[in-house]
Amino acid sequence: MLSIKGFTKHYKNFQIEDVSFEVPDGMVVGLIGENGAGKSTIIKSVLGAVRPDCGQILFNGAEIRKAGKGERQKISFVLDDTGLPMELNLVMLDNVLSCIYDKWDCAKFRSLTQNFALPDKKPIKEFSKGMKMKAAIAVALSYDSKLLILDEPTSGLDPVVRDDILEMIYNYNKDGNRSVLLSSHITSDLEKICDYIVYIHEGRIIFNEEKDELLNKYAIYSIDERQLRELEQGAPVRVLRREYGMEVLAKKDKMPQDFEYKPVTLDDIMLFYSKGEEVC
Amino acid sequence: MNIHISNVSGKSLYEQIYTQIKNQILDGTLKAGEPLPTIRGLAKDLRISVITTSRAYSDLERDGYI
Amino acid sequence: MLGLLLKDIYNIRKQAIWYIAMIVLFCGISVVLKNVAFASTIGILVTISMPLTAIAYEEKDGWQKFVIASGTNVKTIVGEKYLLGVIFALISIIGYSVAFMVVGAEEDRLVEFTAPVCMQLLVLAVVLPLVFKFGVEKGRVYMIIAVVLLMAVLIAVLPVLGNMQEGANVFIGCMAAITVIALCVSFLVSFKIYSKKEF
Repeated sequence: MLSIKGFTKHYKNFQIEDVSFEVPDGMVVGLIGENGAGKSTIIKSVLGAVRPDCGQILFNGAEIRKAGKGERQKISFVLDDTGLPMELNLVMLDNVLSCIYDKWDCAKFRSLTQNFALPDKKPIKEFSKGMKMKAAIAVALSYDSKLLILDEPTSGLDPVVRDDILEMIYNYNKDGNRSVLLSSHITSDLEKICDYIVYIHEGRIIFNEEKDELLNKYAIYSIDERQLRELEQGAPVRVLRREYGMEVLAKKDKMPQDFEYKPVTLDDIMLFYSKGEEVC
Repeated sequence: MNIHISNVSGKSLYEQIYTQIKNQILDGTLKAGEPLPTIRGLAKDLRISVITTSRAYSDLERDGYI
Repeated sequence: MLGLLLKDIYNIRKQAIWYIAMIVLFCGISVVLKNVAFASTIGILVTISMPLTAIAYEEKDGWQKFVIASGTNVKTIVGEKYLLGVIFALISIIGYSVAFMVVGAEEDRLVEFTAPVCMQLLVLAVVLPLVFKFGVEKGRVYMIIAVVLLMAVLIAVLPVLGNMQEGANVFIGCMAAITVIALCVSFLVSFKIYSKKEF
């Protein structure tokens, strides 16, 4: 459904180089990376708010920069600063958006905001952060899109609200006809819901893998230097040297079977890549 | 239906699901005609990807269990 | 464009009421003092303040990337701000017309009537592209400079215009043409500036 090819963008202090990945039909793709890795820039480019220096962004096969209103409105989005007009209340917002979106469904918007227990007549600026996010999600779900893009939708929210939001994402995707691209540094949320994980680090793609395979393929081993030298080539991928010893991120099937290991989480993988070293 | 998956078992996730469903069918826990959870429903409950559940289900289908 | 206009009006409704009250006040002062200068100049401030305030809210809300992502085209986004300005210009002109007629209008004072109308639209033409380019914070500075300058020119020039007999129609025609051209050029410039912006 969405295909990003060779995305490149240069800023003064920061570059994104040659990022390519896909969001297949019906799948949930998670974008992870440290703050400032480039995730938001990529997302804003898909939405048209930023223009890449190089590369293509294809939505349903067509370059998105040339997309008309009809195509653009097949994509809904939730940004971490919502972008919603804070002085308006939900009734006013409904009126405004029904003029902007061709397929705006007032009834759906009203029922969603009621389900989320959001007040009708209070200006959005008086909502809590969780309520603002839920309002943004209600907006995103009210115009029949095919792709939902979320940029840090759960940052700063308590676990109950986060679970509510993940539930909504699941329901959006449930029938298998719609796709989701979700960027977050709250990796536990991504581990629950994603089919693919794309890891962006310092502007480059580190990997793009099926989530279950990723978490199952790798494990963390505590070993010493001698053992490290004796390992099969390609087994250990990254090493993290700490004060008390050393840990390696390694491929389970290439490691000796009798070595003890810990299952790996996305957090671990990110730490190994940002603070660890490559194994020569 | 009770499925339990583990990240510390040697087997891949879809193998674990495949094996558990197969065993439940063979020992009668799962009866013929009983509906299985959808691939997405199962994925959601187990917190894994639909790719994994659909792989397990298609293997089960291929081998004639469902 | 209707959605955008609606959103802006919701956003600025409190300020709009104040500004309309000011229009009424200044027109009232003009009538009382029998001097159209007050009624004629307030429109210059109001016409540009309203779109500027609307843009200020948008910058604070992060609305601009929202509306771009919704597929609304740049022509509509930029055009709506000009439309907002024109709407308030019209409101000011209505107030000014009333004051003008009460203070005593004669046919050959049409020149005196046209000048402020054109000034109001000119301030829009001059300041909006600057706001699009430099943002509201810097834009306010440009706005104040432009408004003060235009008001000063208008006040200085109005008495002269009142006495203009020959060439009045030519003058009106020129002013109208300059204003229209300025607005068109301004719109094109704003459009180019906005199209290149990234949010």
